[in-house]
Amino acid sequence: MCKLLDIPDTGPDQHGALQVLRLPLQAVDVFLLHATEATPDTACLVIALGSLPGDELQGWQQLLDANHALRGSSAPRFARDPQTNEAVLQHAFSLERVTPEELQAKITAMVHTATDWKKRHLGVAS
Amino acid sequence: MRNLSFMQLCAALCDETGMPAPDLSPDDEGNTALAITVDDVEIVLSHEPRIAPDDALVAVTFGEVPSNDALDVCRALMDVNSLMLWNHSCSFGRDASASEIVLQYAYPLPGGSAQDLYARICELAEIVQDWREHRFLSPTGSTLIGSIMRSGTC
Repeated sequence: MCKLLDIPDTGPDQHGALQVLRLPLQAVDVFLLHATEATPDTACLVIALGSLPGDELQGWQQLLDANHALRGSSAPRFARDPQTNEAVLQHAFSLERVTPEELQAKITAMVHTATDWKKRHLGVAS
Repeated sequence: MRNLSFMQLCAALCDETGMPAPDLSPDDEGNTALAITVDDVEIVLSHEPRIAPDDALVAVTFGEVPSNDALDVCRALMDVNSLMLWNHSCSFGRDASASEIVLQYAYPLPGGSAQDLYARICELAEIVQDWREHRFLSPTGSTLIGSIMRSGTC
């Protein structure tokens, strides 16, 4: 997957029970998480979007509205990191059913969604 | 376990609940939907072959967010989304047209069964009733959603 994304394969770091691989891509960092003991067959992709600008309530409502439009098991979802009050984009997938090419496509789609959100809401160019 | 089609799942679910079998004709886009009500909670099962051919899409309507507590309620729902990170496709969203909170979930048709889905729906209906009363999910409710969605489907 790192080869497909044209980034160095640094290997995952161990954070407690989690293995975390940081993928530096464009304007965002993507984190690939794997809880090897608790959910050996599932991995998650997470992108931190940062604090919501402007009216916070309106921001969460917009992300809830966006979640409503994201249907099916192949779409990511918006959430909130309770420790930082920052928005995150996340997606879990079965390791058994994904190929490196499919994973690359998932990551590319999430990066596109995240950079688009940042551009619209934070004025950050990708 | 055998693989069910969405039509077979709906037919078996109607048998399970004693509902008369409805007309499940696809719309112009090939999508099909079935609405059922359990304890005043509306649950819509749909199949959208172009988006998720192998999933029954489950949408459970929780209701409107109260205006006096909206920020805290929305934060709490988004926190639960974060906690459900490992549950593939389960998340809270909002139907903007009705301003209602909806829990969405993709139930995999391969390996699924009407009995299993109906049991999950009944458990969810209890959690919805609790949310409608308190507007926050109890820790038990949050954990239950995770376990209901996770068990045997991921």
